[in-house]
Amino acid sequence: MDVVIHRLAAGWAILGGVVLAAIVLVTTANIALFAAHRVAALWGGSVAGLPGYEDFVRLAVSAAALMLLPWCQARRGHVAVDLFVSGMPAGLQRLLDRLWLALTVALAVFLLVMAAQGMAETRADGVLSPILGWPEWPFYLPGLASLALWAAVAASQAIARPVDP
Amino acid sequence: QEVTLTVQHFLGPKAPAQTKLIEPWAKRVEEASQGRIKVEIFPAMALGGKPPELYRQVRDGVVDIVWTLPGYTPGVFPRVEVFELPGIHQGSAAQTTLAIQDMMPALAPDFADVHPLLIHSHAGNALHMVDGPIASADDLAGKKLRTPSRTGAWMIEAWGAEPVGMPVPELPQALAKKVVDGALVPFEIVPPLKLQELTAASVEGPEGLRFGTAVFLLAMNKARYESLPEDLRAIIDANSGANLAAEIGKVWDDVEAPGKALQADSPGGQVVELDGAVYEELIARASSVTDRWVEEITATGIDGQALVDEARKSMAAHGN
Amino acid sequence: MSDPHTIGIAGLGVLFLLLALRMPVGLAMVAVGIGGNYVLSLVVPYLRFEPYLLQFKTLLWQNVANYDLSVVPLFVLMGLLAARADLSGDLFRGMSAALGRVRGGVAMAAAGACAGFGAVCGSSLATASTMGRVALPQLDALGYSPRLATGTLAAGGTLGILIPPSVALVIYAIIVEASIIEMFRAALIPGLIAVAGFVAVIWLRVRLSPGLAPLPTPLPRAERVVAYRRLLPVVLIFGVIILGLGAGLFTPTPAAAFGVFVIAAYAMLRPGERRLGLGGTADALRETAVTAGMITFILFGAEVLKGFFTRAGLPAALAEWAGGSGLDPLTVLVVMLLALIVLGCFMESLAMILVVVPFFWPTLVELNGGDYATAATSAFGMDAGELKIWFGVLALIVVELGLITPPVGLNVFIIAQLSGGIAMRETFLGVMPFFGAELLRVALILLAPGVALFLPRLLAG
Ligand code: NA
Ligand code: NA
Repeated sequence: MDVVIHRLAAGWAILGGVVLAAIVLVTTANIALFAAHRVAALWGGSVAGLPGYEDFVRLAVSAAALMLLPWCQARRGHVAVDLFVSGMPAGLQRLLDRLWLALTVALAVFLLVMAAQGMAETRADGVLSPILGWPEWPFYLPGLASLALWAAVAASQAIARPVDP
Repeated sequence: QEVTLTVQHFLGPKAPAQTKLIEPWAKRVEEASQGRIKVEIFPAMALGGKPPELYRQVRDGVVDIVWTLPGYTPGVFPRVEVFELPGIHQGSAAQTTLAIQDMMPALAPDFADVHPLLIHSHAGNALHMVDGPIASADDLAGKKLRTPSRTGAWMIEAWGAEPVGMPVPELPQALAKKVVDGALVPFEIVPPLKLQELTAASVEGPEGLRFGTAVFLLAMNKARYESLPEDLRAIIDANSGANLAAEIGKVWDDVEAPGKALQADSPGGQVVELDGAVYEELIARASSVTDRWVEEITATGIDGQALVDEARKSMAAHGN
Repeated sequence: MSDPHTIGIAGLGVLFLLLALRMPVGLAMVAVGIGGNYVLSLVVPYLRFEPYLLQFKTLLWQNVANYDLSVVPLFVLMGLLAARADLSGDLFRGMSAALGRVRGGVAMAAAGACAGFGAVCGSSLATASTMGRVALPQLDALGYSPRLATGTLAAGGTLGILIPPSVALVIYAIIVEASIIEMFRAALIPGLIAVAGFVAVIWLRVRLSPGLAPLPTPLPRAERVVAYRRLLPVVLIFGVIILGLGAGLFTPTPAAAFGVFVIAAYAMLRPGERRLGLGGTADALRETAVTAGMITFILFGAEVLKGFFTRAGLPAALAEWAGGSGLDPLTVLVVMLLALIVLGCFMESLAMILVVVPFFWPTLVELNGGDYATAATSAFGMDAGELKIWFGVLALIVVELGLITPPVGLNVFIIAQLSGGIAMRETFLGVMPFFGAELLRVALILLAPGVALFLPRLLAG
């Protein structure tokens, strides 16, 4: 089970990376069109950029940023400051660690439940992106899946058998 | 006091929206209630969230009152968008704000989930151009222009120009780097963004006619309003809607003068009033925007043409 | 002091306590933010708690649906691709070949390569660990003293923060609503001064105790030619990105996306076994997820925490108090910077920017004479816009010093770990002279704000 969750989180992060790659390609295309416009302007011409480019980046980054969270959790990447704790007894350290993991699960589940309501409302309200006119609610979906996966990863870490030193 | 009302908005504490609209409103309500109502103002999103969330916040009661733009969430307020269409708004925030009040019965379904206190407009969008003024409608062809709204983007397309969307704080950089050739904003925005240093000309129609406007919403949480005792509710009512419209409209018209003067007085800068025929030509070319809007909104089951007709009639009723 | 303020201060205390108990930073910020708002709602009835919770329906999504934010994962990816494709190694070896004739030259090359790579990488920790892997074995083999070698790399990791592009600069600009481009312009000269300062420190140390570095042994000609040939494309690519952003030729998102595109294209298309394959690309994407995911969580935590502190009225109260206290503005600024250095001994740098700046910034604006003070009427001789930039440069330097100060110095931990068997104490001692150079730099920028403001003023408009 843990292995499955771990692989899912890794694959999901790669997918997030693919969204980032889409931002890179769309932006590079837009830069090329802008450069062409500048050149064409010398002769009084003009070249159109990609319409709604900023809209696209904003929506795409909302998906990509959240898709990176589960793998970050899987790698214990959410930074913490080790000041005294590493000097405490091992049992106490494990207890604290599990406590924070349990809280992480609670937070991810809470955000998931709330964001699901947020998506339903966004859909009912009919919110559109300003230039492209795309409905915004589907862009909540990657975030919902990410939160669910984040909760699953943290939960599997919280109940994992302690690794003996 | 009995009641403390929280107000949240997205601008700074020294912005005209706070000093000339929200603070005077709060003071009057506090005084009229003889201290039974207290108003706490939270500028710059101090209670949390991003500007597009303000409408949800007031609907959910996260805050009691917000000042926001329906345009932040296109699609949510289909009806009131009629006042942002080119050719509806002329050049006066007072006129448009009064016309909006006349039309409140028709617009009401947009605001069914909140208690609207005032829906108003600003003085309208002028064209601020990096390289200088335009002489004819054709001069805009191929230009990249920062759009103020969804329908603003349609208008720019109808001119044969290219709409670019970006947050207002990014506008100075975009003008300096010529990522855009111009922007549609009111003169009110000129001083805080120093647009007079970045643009060579600001263009409007004859006698201050503008290219569309933006609509603003001051609204209260519905349950909160209904929970007030009747006499306090009456005080809120006395400081709402039509009772406020003329005064607030004038505030937004007056706030244009300093920005206009800055551009006119800046070295190499000028404020240009277009020839009447050129202005008419630009508005005529943008008439397809109204058709597109009517078609789109009619598809959702709202009579768009009726809204356009009624908006025109109300505007005429308050014309000079 | 009224109750909400007391609750706000108590919340700050609880935050530090939770952090000391090794709670993840983002989680601690959210926990204190939500918990604090609950306590606040008990004391201030009009700040009701249940409606407050409804904000979370959209808060996370709106926080990440931000055009400016896109530069953060892109900069991180750019740096990791450059590391995967060994552009970091090409940079170090090329500079070593150039500086190999000078005593201590390879250490100077390591500092320079840290600066160059740190610039495009944007994360100090990633810079320290990447360059540590590349340069430590080399310095060790040549016979450099471990103290000098590890000190140079731990300190060198911090160089990238001011050289554009930098994730920390972007985040500072987002929270104080400054122009990202102006921040980049302002940071360029102070960043170059830091590199010069580090090279000077190495030169001086080797001069004073020649035992720290071996006699220079220039590379054979053939190897030098290879090193230079590999250095050239790296210098071109990094140079375009750094100067393009520093001079403000690109806006940030296009620059970041273009940087990723160029580095990926170079790494994937170049011939031979050093070509970056699908496996390496996937590794870079997963590593990006770890770093960028961490930043996303902390940024969200900061948004929740901000909602608590501002509801408690704390930043406004502090600003009001400072404005009326008659304190000398420059003294207050120095005290703030010292506080950041002390806090930096214990705290994570990004979290520090996000927790502390919202308190310090309004106070400075008030001391300066308010939002609308002009250069002539203000206490610091600059308007609020320039103050934002100048303070940002100063604050980011001292915040980053936290990475090399004991007891918690993450760069030092990483380098000591990589060096295999060097006592942490040695590395901390090795870092100290660089720390001294950094304090001199802070003093310089403090006394001559023009160092930071020269480029933004020159390139304005
Ligand atoms: Na950097
Ligand atoms: Na430290």
